[in-house]
Amino acid sequence: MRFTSFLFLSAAAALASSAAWGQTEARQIEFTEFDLDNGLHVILHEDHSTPLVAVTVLYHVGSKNERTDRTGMAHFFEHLLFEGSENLARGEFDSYVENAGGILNANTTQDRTFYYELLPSNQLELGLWLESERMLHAKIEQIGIDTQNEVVKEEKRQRYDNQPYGQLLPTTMAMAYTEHPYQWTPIGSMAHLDAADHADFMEFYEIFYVPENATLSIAGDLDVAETRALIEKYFEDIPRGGRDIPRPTVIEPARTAEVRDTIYGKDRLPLVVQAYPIPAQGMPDYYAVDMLNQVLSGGESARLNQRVVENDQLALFCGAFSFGLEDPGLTLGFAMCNMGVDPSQVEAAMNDEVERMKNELISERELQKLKNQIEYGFVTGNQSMAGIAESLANYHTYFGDANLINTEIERYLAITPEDIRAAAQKYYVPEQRVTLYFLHDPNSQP
Amino acid sequence: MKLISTTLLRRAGFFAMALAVSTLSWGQVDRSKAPEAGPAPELKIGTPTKLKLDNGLQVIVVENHRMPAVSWNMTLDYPPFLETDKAGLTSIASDMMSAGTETRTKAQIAEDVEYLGASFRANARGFFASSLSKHTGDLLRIVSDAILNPTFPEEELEKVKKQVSSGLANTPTSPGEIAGNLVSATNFGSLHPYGEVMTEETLENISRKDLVEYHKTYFRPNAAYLIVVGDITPDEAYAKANAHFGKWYRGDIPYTRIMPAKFPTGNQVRFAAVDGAAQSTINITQPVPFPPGHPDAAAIQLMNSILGGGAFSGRLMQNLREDKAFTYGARCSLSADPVTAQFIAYADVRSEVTDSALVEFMAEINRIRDEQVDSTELATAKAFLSGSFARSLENEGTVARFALNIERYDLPEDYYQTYLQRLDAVTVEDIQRVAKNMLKPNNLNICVVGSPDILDKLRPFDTGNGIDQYDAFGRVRIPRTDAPAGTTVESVVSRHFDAIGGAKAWSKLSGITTEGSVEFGAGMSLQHREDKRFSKKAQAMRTELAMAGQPVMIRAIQPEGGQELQMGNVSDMDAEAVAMMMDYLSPIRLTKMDKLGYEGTVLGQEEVAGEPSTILEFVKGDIKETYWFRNSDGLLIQQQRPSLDGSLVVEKLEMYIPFGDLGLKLPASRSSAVAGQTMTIRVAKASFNPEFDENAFDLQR
Repeated sequence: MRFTSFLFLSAAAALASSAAWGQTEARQIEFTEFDLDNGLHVILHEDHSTPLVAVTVLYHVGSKNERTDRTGMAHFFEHLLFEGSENLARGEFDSYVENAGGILNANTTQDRTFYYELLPSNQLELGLWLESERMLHAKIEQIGIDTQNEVVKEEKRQRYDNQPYGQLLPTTMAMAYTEHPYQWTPIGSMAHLDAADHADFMEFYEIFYVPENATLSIAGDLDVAETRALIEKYFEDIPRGGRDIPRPTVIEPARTAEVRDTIYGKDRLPLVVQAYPIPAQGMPDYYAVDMLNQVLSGGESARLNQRVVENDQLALFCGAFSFGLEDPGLTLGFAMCNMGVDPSQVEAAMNDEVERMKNELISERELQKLKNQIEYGFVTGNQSMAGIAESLANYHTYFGDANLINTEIERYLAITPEDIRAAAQKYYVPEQRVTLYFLHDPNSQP
Repeated sequence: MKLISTTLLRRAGFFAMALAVSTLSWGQVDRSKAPEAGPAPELKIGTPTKLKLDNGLQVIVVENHRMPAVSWNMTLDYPPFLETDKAGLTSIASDMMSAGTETRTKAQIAEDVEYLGASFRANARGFFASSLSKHTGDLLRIVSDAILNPTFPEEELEKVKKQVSSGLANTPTSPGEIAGNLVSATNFGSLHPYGEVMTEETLENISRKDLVEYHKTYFRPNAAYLIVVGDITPDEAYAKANAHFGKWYRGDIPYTRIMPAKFPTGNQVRFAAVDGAAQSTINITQPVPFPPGHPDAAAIQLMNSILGGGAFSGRLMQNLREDKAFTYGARCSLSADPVTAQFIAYADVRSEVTDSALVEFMAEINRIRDEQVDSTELATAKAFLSGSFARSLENEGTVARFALNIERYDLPEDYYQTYLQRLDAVTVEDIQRVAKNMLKPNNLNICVVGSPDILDKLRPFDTGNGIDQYDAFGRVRIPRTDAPAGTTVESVVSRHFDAIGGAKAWSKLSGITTEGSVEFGAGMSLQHREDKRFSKKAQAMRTELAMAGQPVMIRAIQPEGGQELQMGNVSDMDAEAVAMMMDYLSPIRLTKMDKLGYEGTVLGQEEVAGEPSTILEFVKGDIKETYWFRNSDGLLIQQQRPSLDGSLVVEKLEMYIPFGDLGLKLPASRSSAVAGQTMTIRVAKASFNPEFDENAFDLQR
């Protein structure tokens, strides 16, 4: 992200994501969608509660589309695309939006790059102009490249190198994937970024930042017909890219033996990480795995917390969550051990709870609890215009069905206790697991 | 139908116009300049309903039926208080507020709430709970039980303490946490509630009794606000609040007078070292006089915004990130606070540019005071803050929060309705005026957490008393140096005894009686008398505290056992405590530590209260005692050793003066921190080798 965070793994984020769950709701989100001739997909949601509008563009490019010798490019590019355009001088992206009383930002994941402006609704046209400038003719100059190169390095130092357990996600991904580009994270390699030249950037722009690879999703205090006219005004004359958009086709080979490793660092408390491969998001089994993780760590009363943290008192926290991605992702289990606790004890307790999931069906009460949690998540989700615009764009991009914002709940509610047990047996396989211990290096000071 | 038709007409008209424009400009959109904004939309700020229960609980309701869900948010408005040697008490109380009641265990509370698909988080200042409307009654039953009847079970407290202690162990590797501790400790100091930092020691001191007392004192309806947002009418909300929180009784909330925060003298660099840190975490900070409702609040917010508080176009971000590329982000913050507000300018920068970054920070802080801001900068800041204000209204809880602030801080009823007008009225002159009032660029705490090798580069920025170094918990770290060659445990101890009359003379004493006073904090003073008999065959000691001649506490100890008399009750002391007191009894104990099984070491030298001192440490098993001897005269001036309850107590020994005609010196003042207060024992009179009566060491004689 340009100024917040990657879709990064931290204990807090994981717990929050398992608790807050849910992308849909009982209230129907109505929307209009259409394609321009150049292939740009547009989704509009009208809601007049507050005089605000969220203008967002999702480009279907993330770190998994990067060359192996140019990792970090997608995220770096996100930074560069705030530098200016043929009609916007350096710094003007920010000043136009902020002068209009809005905010703007962007973020990059393994699968997509997402830009947004949150504006007063009378500034909708400004947002469209800015996003069309970014798509049509962004200006990439050496001064911007040099500055953002340093800024991204600072971002990496701040978010990873100088952060407790900052290497957790990069290390886990590197161990869990040997062939697929998910083996590196969006921050990528600083050496690769140093090696990239102007031609590399222009090529990246011409391949990926084209209307047929983008979704313009707008939600808020707007009139659909007026907005459509304005979109046509600013976006219709942007030419198609027309080149093939490279997408990884490599399939990560199934592991046949568990991978184990120990990483030593400054951090004092031992951390245990377990990663198992799971199906791509949206696949039927993905929902079963997600439900399974909800049983294991959906809240304080969930099994892992009750067992490992409360009863056995082995850890500060312990959880499992689905790291769902466009290609097959991971389910990540993790525990931060209490001081002086042997991590193998914690690992054994986690494995024990997974075994229970494989051997026993969840109870009637647990099933009802899951359903209540899902219902609450869907009813209360989708409150902010920015959130709605992003969800609509995600559902369209990944599944070709924006209406999943209203219907995905059915996929969850259709999962049975038998499905959950079957998912445990099928995906929580010890031979396919990566187990990592992050331990304190006694030679590191303090 | 009429309603629809006018809307349709308006839209059709606009649409027709837009079509015309887009046809005309087909292929020739004027991209060279930004489009004009439409007419500014009207911002509607709802008015919540305010109600009050008979017990004083104030209920603020925002009715909104967009979703079938209701949230309940309680805020207890009590003034912050000092936690002293129990720093972290309110933090632990937060973790313990839903840890069990008479009828529900911690696990049951979590299970019952989560079964409903609901959420509930309690803390030391209230709670947040939310569920679908249909589960409201069930949820409130659990929540009110947790909030009104917590039992703070001992075993849950132990669990929480173990976890928090594990978390504290990680602090020294987290630059962000260290920086937070450093800022609080230096801006406010340990005598201000905001300056207290929880450590392993203060955590250990927190007991179940403290939590019970804390809850009894501060969880009172007359200090509470309950904000209800969602699918509920004010009448229903009132009825539910009354049903679940109506039988909660009022209580007097104590008021603690808080010392005003002090500015540092000059610019003070405060440094905490993290070996191998990839970046320096910079916080340039000072306390500021900015309570909520300050007449210049809008100008202060705008000034902070221009300098770097929020917008990407802020000066700090533009200078340190976009121009210099020192950092991923540089910002500042300045928010109103009812007790003491603080200004902080902050960034994480790579180590090698730490000094260059400080130069830029100082330049920007000075520039906003010395020069008027540009009118376009001011316009941007106004647009940014009005935009944030509008965006905040997207969340329905915002108007409830406005209502809460109006009540808590006694703001005018239309404070938020008129906010945008006040913002608009601010001039460039106002910005400079408030910058001069708020920011004092020669009295800053320049806090840096980073690699030790950058320390030298920070020296030019310190115009105060030299760079102070801190540990991870904001405690001053005084560098220890080696003691001069030849310093031994024996030489240090015998120098001390030489200074107080000689070890030989002390070894011949049969006993001492001292009389004087003991003071607790500033308020309470009692008479104090201590009798000690050293003779090997009849070791004994007796301590008596009295008020106006009437004993209020007596402790009498002999090797075979000890007793305490307190408030008329006699209790036996446990054998371990008796043994410890007997062990401590000998006046020449320090000369024979090796015989008592302790291993002594000279740890080095460090300053104690500004006096260079030599440190001795004695270890026996898991017992550790530490003693500081002043280099100038050799006297023991501070000691740290286990006390009766097992905690480590630091005692300061001052004013060695000769009592009687033997030339033997005793410290006339001994002070230590006990239960958050300073306890000082003062000796007014001492007699050496007194004649003890037969019943001199009886509990009641």
